[in-house]
Amino acid sequence: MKNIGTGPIHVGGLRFTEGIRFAFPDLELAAGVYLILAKDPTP
Amino acid sequence: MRQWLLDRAAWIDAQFMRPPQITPSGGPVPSGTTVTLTSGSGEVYYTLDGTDPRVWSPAGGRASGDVSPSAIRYSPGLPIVLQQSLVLKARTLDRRNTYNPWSGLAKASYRVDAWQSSLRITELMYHPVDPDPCDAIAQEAYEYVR
Repeated sequence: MKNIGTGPIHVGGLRFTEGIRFAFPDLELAAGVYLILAKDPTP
Repeated sequence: MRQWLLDRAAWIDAQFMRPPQITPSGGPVPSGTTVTLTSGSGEVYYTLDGTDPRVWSPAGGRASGDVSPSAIRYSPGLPIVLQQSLVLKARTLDRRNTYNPWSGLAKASYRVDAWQSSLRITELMYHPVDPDPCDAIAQEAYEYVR
């Protein structure tokens, strides 16, 4: 995922609810920053 | 008597101007949404800081009923573009109506979430289950699917 905007985005509270299930922790993505979300292969 | 009441209510309504129509009417919107204000007559004044576009005091006074210093006159050539969450308040002003030149207050509350316009899922990777090493056809098929 990428923040294509010019300001930071707070992703805390956002969730994936279909396909995969994931709730983002209280985290800030600065402008232009990538976020890679991967499944832990050894759960 | 009933007809008189209906006529009277219609007459009273006619003495007051309708508030301007705000489109969209509020709620969650993507950043960059354009707001349109429409009114049947007069000019529309609006604010984006949550204050009333009309200066008003119940006791009257010189400034009462004037346009607020923070109010902006709406013109379709100068669109309102939403970049952040805010409350928009608008009134129609028609000075030809000497009894009460202002309409009632129209209000719209917008929520602009940065992630809706700026957060993109740029790549998806999917790793399927490894094919059965004993099944040659299945291996080819899986290769094709990949």
